[in-house]
Amino acid sequence: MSAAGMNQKLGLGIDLGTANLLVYLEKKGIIFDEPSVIAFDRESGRIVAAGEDAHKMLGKVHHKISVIKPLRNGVISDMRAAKALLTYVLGKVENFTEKSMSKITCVICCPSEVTKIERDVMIDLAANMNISDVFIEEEIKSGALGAGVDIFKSKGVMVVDIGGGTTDVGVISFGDIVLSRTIRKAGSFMDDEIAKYVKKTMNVEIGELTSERAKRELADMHQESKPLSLKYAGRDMVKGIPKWVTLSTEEVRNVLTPAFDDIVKLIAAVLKDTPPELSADIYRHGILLTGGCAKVRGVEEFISNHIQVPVHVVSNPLTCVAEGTKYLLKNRGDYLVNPLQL
Amino acid sequence: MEVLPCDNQEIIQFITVGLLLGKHICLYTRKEFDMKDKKNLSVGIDLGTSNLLIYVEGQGTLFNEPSIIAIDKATQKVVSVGHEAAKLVGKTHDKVEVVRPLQGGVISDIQLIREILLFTMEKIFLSDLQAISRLLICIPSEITNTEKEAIIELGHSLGIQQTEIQEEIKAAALGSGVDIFAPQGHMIIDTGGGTTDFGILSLGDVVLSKSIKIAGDFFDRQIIDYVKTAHKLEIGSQTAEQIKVKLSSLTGPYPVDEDGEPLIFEAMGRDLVSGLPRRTVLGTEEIREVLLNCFDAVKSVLLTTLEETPPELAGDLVDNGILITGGGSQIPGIREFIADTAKVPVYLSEVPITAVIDGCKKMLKMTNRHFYSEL
Amino acid sequence: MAFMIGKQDKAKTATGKNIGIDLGTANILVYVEGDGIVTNEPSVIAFDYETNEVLATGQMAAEMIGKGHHGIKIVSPLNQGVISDIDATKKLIEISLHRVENINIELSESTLLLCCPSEVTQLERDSFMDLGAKLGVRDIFIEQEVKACAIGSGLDIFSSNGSMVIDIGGGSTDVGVLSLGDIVVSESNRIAGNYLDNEIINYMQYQHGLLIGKKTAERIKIEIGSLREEIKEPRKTFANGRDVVTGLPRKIFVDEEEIRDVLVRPFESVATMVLKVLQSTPAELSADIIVNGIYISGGGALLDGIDEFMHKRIGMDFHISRRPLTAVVDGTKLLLKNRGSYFVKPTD
Repeated sequence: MSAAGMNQKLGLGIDLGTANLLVYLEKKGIIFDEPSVIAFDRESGRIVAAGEDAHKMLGKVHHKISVIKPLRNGVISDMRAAKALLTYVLGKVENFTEKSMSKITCVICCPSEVTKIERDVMIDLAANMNISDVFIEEEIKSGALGAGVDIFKSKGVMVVDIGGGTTDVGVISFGDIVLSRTIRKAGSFMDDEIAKYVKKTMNVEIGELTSERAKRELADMHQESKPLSLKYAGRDMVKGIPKWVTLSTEEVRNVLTPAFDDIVKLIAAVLKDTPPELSADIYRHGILLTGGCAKVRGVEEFISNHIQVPVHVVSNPLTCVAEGTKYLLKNRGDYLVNPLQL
Repeated sequence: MEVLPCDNQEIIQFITVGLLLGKHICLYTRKEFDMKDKKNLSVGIDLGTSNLLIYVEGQGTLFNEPSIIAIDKATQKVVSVGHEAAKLVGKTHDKVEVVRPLQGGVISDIQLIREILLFTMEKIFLSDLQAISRLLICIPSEITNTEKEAIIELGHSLGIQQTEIQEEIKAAALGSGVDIFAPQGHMIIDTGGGTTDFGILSLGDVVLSKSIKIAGDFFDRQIIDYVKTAHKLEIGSQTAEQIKVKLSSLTGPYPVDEDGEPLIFEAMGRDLVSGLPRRTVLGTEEIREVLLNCFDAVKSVLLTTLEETPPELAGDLVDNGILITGGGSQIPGIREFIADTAKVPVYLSEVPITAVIDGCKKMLKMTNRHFYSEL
Repeated sequence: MAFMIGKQDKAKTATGKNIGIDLGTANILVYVEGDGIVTNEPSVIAFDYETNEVLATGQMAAEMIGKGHHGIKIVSPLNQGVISDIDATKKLIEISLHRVENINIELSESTLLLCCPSEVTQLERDSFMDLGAKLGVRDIFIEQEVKACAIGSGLDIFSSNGSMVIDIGGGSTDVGVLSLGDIVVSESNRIAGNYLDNEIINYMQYQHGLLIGKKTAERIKIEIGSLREEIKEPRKTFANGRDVVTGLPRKIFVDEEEIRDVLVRPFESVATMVLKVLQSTPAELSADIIVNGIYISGGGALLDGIDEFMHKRIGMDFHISRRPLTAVVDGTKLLLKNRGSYFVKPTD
């Protein structure tokens, strides 16, 4: 695995996010950054839409279209759909043919705690696409690299990635992960909680897209946030007809707090198991926050208030994992090779 | 009965004059018919229960006489038709039989009809039946399908290319100027000598029709019965007819003479008991009584016809009303009588006697059966 | 559902045209690309009973209803949203198309789109495919009315923004929720124009003791039909028919309020059907519907106060389609462009 050997192959980095799929291709940069959704025509099997277009269809399709989210909780739940999605993405690249597939080195980023089977499935995915050279890395490692952190120093870095399907918490030092944990509570879970709340207290069913939008527009974990109320439409569960509901930032905050509490608990647990030298680094330099939910207003304060450690949201929370694959491809995950210096 | 030779244009005048004079008019033109070079003739025949009429396009009505025939019993051949046959009533020997073949409204013997047609055609110098390209026969409504087919078959067997049957009531409506081709319901009552026909027409054809044998002849018989019972006098049918013509009325003021005096009739007949000739005087009130009894049946069938009329067409009758044609339409007060029963407007035909044949003429001019196709 | 036969190529010769047909229970409409709506007539055909020759179609045939005699057979081949007489239907289409040929169209180069009532069976669809072959049309496909209706009502059914339409026709009322170019949920029942006419006939019989014909009932419905709760100046019209008791012709007057009372009951079931569809609609689409409102199209949309009526019972905003009687055939214009495929959003 010499550096020279690398140059003949094209690097492909995949952030298989539950919410969003990001694909990085060497020399082209990030070629895809859209929701991990794909829509098929049921009869012919043809792809009707992928990414953003397919995402818009959630909850709106007729029986001829089936909309699939190939990833659940960070792992592949529908191989066929996952493959179709990736093939579609790669198919959009200019001059990218079937033959090109065999000349690819691929890194797939996954949540920190995955089973062997889940891992194997990811390798199968690559194999199904005729990619023989594939390796798996943890998202938090890639995220840290993508955020511009030099993880190769012997200095402890804690990364908290609150994504769509999973929240990963890990400590990295000297180029590799020291310890890491995952809970399957993240963005999607929060959307569901909002929907459940509306169902329970207002007897109205709202769709996925609506609860997602509500989270985006109203989530604010600051204790004294500016009060804001917005209207959303759903279906009255008793009468079955459409109905408006009003949600406020306060209600949303109350709904999301338990989830964030669990995240805080996870961080605390990891800190507890962190070797003391590294914890010292972390206390000193703070925790890095990445992932979509890092963008929720007030989340830094919420976590730091509970943990008593400074928390910093990276500058590119949504794309850092994909950007990090650039470097991982260079050193193939080898902790001894610092790709930042290549 | 007066037989007046006249041409078609004067017919209307004669009806009017005749009626004012209280006379029963029989219109009849017998012309010389030049058979040379006559081809593709259209001929219309009204096979009525009382009268048989034959119309030839371009020539007019060439035959109009009672539907009576005299047959030689042995050969079954027709001996005479019409007036001449009528004269034989009650005056023949056993070898000759005088019949009214259409009396029951049933044509029982198609051969007889054939004979009649051949005989009458010859009489009007139309012996070459091949010259007829189109034959239209108007028949009473009661005729069955089998009989209809038999007649058409007859036409074909006589070498006539196009033989059609139409109901009299339709011809009567058409002849009276009703637009029967519109998608609008019209009702016609044709009350003649033998039968009173009721018809509902729309879109160029009969929707439903009914017929009863309560008409002129029946009234005559009822008058005879009445005079027998009430005046103990036996009178003849001709006298009865005269009484009917002069004294009839159904509603309204009783008919009066020129001086405003109530009309009366002196009837001559035979005393029932003594057998001797005697006179008696009859008044308009008595005759009204007799007629009203007869008209009970008319009223009843009128109501039944209306009841059976499809609602949409019944609705049209509210505006279009009922048209009365035929000899009986001349009875004073009949319009009010019918209007009172049906509660719709009632009109009298302007050509009551010739309505059927006039309608026949119109139909002969048309080529399309329903006259409604626009494709 | 789109069933496609024939070539997909869209190249047309100079004389081949795209033709769209709204085969309604009450009316048949034909649209020809480039010429607009060339036929808009009642779906009635009159035959000579004996020869089976066609005597009249469309308006002329419709005028004959209730007025015929035994020599004429008047057929409304589409009964209650279902094809009850397939041969007469074919004949009707054939004749309408032959009229179309007067506008110089080469059928063998043309594409025909047939919008059928929602309850057309597979057998009937196959029969229509045969018809296409028999007519010598190059290409024939069938679409559900409610889809064309939504498009013709001005709704963009191809976006993911859900739309909902109620099409109250002659034989059936169809309710549909559409998104991404196709139907998501739909329901249909027979409470429509003809049913309402019958209700009026029944009412006249039992309340006024007057028997009226279908044409009269229809006229009353069109002239003074209403669903408005408060009618300030009730309109009146006449009704000619036959008295039930005496059997005699009779004319009476009826007013808007009594007719409204007759119409309210059937429309309650229409409202119930709309509710049923809403109840089966996915939440996300429900959200779109509450924002966009529900559109009413078809002859029934012309009933005064129907939007108010529905709004009272269901609570959504209801809008009347801008051209309710021609919405379906207007929609075929667009469907002909994309040949019924939901993939392709047709550009005008």
